Amino acid sequence: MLSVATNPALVAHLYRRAGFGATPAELDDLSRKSWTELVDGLLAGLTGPDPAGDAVPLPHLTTLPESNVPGYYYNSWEEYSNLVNWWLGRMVVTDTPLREKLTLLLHCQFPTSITKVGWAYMMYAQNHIFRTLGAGNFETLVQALAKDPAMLIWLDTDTSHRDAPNQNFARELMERFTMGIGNYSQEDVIQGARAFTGWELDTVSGGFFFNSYDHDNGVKHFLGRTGRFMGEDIVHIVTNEPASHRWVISRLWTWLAYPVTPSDPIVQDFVHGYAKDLNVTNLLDAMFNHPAFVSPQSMLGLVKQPIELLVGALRVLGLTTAPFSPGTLQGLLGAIGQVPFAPPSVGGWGWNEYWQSTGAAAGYMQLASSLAGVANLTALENADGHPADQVTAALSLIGLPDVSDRSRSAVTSLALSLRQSSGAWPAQQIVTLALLSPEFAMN
Amino acid sequence: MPLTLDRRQFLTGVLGGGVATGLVRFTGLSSLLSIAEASASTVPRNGPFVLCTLYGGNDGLNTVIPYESGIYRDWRQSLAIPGDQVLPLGDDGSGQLGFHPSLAGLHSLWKEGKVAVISGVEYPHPNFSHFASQTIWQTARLSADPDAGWLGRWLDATGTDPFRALSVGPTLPPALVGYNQQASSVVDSTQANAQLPGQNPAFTGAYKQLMKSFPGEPALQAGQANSGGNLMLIGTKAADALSHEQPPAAPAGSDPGDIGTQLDIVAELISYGLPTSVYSVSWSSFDTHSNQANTHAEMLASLDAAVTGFMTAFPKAAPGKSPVIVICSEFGRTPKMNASLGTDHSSASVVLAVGPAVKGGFYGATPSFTKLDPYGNLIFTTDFRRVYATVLEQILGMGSVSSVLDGPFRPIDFL
Repeated sequence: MLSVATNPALVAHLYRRAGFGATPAELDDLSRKSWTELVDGLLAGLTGPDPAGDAVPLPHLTTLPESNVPGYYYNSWEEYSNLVNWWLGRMVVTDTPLREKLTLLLHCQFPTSITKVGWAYMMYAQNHIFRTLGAGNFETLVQALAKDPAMLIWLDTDTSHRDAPNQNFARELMERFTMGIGNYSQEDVIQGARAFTGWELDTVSGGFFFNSYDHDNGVKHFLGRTGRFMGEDIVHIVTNEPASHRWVISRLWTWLAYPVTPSDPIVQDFVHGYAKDLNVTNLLDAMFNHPAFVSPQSMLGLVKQPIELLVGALRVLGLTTAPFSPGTLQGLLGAIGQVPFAPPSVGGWGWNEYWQSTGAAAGYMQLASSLAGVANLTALENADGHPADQVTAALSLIGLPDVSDRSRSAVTSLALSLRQSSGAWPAQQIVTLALLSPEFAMN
Repeated sequence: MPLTLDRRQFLTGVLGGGVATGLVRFTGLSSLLSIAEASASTVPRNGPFVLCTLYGGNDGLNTVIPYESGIYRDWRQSLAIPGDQVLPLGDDGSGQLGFHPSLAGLHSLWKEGKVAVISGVEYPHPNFSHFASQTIWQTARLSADPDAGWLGRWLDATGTDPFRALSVGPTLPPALVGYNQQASSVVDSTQANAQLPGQNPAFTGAYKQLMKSFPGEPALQAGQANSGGNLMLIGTKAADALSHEQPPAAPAGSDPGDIGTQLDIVAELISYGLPTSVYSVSWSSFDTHSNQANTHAEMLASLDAAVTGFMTAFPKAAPGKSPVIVICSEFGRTPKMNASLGTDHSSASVVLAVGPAVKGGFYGATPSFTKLDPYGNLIFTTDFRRVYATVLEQILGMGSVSSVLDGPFRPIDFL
């Protein structure tokens, strides 16, 4: 097939949304390909090999049997920090950016926090489910997550009993994970909760255990159906409801294009295809090829989440997570409010304006300064010529050749005044400021 | 050990202090002080208002305890707090009530007449979803659809001064985000030790230039710029406020995100006289589905220490320094204990108002324990928007609350 070059601005958009951004050098190369080739390449990565990502060494994570400690608590802050660094490291170097991005978006869709789960190993195991099952059939993914040890602890399935079912998992399963508010009643929550009784964490093996003695095997009336439903039946029912089709589509579109509710007309465009097989890869394919994905509303429709901004910045600066001690990037993200494996609640993080507080602005200043302080900027340091040219070089480095006059002149005025006072070219401060440009925050 | 920054490091990190100090030192305060003076007229007699949100659904029945009720003991079984441990408050007409034993400090403040206990607070047709119920509380609208927050709409109606409302924490609660205006925030945790370039006046000058939105700038990009622009205004003033105080060292190992630290920051900013009418602090999680007894006791003890610590800075009412803390949560918990030794999402609960100008006593009404809703939940007696009406009228000085609350609501007479 003859390749048709693609507008670099669109390529950059695709790679920000379907990954963590392309470096200027990558963009040159990618822009020679057609849109179809680009999308197909990203989709192939959902199941293809990821040698660079796999080369990031997984830190030691203590398993439950290994620990010999009954009960749940932070088994190790150090393991948690190492795990955060490991995942961020994968995001930076991966050969399959869409898979890492989808793994992050699924963490946003099924927010689970180590602050209650307690075990870094369990958070890793859940992350592995997102990475390996996320691109396939959505019901298969939710069936796995319903039995995932981290989820069993997080939403109290583990402590729900036949005589008094705990409603937490059944409610969030419908409200947050699969259907959204308004598509079920309180009675459905109560009935659904009965079906998950007896689902326990085996405190010896650390795996799922079905305790038939503590399972309510009576007849349940759930979403208009009646039967002796088990937990698996409930997951099957909710993931195949039309409301779930709209919910899943609206959530993915919200993170990839611009925020929508399940009733938004754009959602309808994907319903027919998704309802056929609940296949997430096919849904992503349809979304990236929808004209609205490259509409102005989409191009200007999202700001980066802090994790996306951090990973994108590391990539353009040619950095990995290696130079940072465990805890450093975690702390920088903590100051902005988004640490992997620690969402604030089962509601997860918000989007867009949620990240635009003055507190976040202070956090971003620390982040930009820390990254620019570690990056090797000698190429910029050695650049000769007028500060305006050097500013252009700095802006190009971070992938912002076309910023507004406002941003360009702000960075230039810093360059001029530093040149005047020190006679040097303080690339670190220039790049710090450039990273703080409102344009860089746009996804 | 990421959480052991000392207090001073913490506060400087928090407020972008390096940046701010640079500004204070090099650019002078005159323009900022003129902003502060311009808004001085908005400093109310009562207040400022301090919104303290307990996320997750605090167990009202085990906060203000009907300890002589047999029905309560049947419901709660091993979670029932025995009468001899309860801190007695007296009879509100429904029977004897008492504070949870963890609330000893609040009990002393109650005896000084500085605590209002508002019982049976919620909204019609309870919604047992955290998010729906939080949305209802934050928007003061019953549809549970995401919308502008009630304090955000107050901000929309009262100008553009970024000092009017300050939230502690990196992300803003939706209550403080309006259609056009939003509160400013100071971050409550940092584990980073970055060398901020903000000590350099050239940098801060260029940063201010960078973070100024321009006509026609796309909305989200302009929002990003404004967050940085407001940081410069707020950070300068707040760092100046904090540099005038010598706060006591935080206890070893304390978490900068905890409720005590958040309220300490608010106390310092109020003491300094920041022209801020609304502060917001929040804490989670009160979602005690399992093994509730110890968790709830510990969380209440921390809340008690935080509020009583805060109140030592404000022993009596004074203009601009009569903070009113209103402590609320999206719903209470099921009257009956569940089999995980916890309680589930429910409805009506208790709101506490604390401050030197608060008229202590019982308000609202304890719900009936015999007439419950079909799911066995308490039925509310007092619309939560009446609490907001009190705040808007008697602290924030709004003549009519209808524009913010979509209708008239009768204030509760606790101020």
